[in-house]
Amino acid sequence: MEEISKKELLAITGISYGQLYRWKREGLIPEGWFVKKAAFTGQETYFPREQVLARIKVIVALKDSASLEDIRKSLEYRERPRLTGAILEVMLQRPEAARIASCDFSTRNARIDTWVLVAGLIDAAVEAGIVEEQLLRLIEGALAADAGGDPTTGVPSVVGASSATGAQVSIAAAGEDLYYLTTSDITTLHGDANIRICASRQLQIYWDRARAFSAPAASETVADETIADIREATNEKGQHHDL
Amino acid sequence: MTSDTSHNWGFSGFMPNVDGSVDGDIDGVTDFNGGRFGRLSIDGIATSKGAITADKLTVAGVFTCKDSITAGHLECSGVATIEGDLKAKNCVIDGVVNVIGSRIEADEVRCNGVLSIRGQISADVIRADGFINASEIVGDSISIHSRRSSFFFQLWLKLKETVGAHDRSEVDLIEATTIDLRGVKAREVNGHDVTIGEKCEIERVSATGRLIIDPSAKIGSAESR
Repeated sequence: MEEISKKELLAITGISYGQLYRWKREGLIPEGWFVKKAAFTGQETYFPREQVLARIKVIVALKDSASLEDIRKSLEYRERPRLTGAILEVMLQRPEAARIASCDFSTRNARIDTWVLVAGLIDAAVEAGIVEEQLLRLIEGALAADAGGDPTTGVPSVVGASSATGAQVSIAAAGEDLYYLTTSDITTLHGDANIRICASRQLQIYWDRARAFSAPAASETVADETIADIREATNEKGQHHDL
Repeated sequence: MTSDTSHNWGFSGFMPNVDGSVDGDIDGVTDFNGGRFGRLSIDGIATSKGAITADKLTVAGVFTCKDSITAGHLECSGVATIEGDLKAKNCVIDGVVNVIGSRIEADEVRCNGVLSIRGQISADVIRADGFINASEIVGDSISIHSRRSSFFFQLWLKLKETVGAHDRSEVDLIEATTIDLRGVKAREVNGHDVTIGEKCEIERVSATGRLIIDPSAKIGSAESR
């Protein structure tokens, strides 16, 4: 990926150090985009060129009409991952994933944690040898319980638990054709000899894959006109203290 | 509610607020678990085992927080050690603040005492007449005038023996739109308008706007355009 140094970035966009660091503090420019590298002068910070230029263009365009907080929210919304069935299929290298992803729940649940959970489930289900119909029932059940919550048992929602560090999803069998899923540790399953874990998956790897997809698309290329736009917008203000 | 004290010899009081936070006053010696506070004032010696969120945190005694602090307004005229990160809108430091975590983030930092962190300080405005030790200080407007006259210099000299500090501020990298330094040792200073005053020792200075360097300052290389 093409990179741009911090000095070059400030020079071509016309933004100030103060703006750059304030936007970083406010979460408008992800910390992960600041990559420090050793240089002959000591150390220099580099950014992914296209991503950071596209981002600064958006911020500069919005900053006079919206608060930084509002811009951050709008960026989060715009860059929310839109994982289609095709992407999920790639994530898992499994063709059946696309079919599952096109089912009804996928249109109602566009959240990334849902997709991560479903991805882990599909992999686990294949290992456990569960038929697709059963798997769909499991997914539907988990998502329905999540939407409505389960106040009677106080069990935390499955989707919610999937975002915890080290979270895993397991499919447990409690008899012939009776499956349920759990995100809790296997050892906490109430010692019932009839319940056995068929398959489980750590969710971290799915998070990693999903995040790779949720990065802004590379197709949003930054043409020279983008840089010209940013420059124009910053020059209109004509000064460097305008945060 | 957070006043689950393991031992508490102090005249400490925790008053619940309507929004679920509590107001706290600590005058004696207390350990507590952290939590969410409206106003928290520490005049005695206190240790918080957990993270603290407070609208206003005042430290006039000796305070150790084993985790991070998030505050609207932080005022320290005593000695505070923060083992996590510090995030605040405003920080006013007249005493000594030592942050062991990796970052301080604030809108504004005013330091007439001593502020130390191994990591980065990022703030829109930084005004220091005291001393700041950090690996990086970045922001919009940074002014550090470290000098010997104050009471805190004496304190600094005491600290120097224990933490190996020097008689001026030491920072690896300073980057801001406007920078004004006196009594600062740094490896690299980058800004738009940069003023390097007396008793400074800077390896590399670069300014994209105005660059003023006091003749007594020791400069490795300077670049401006």
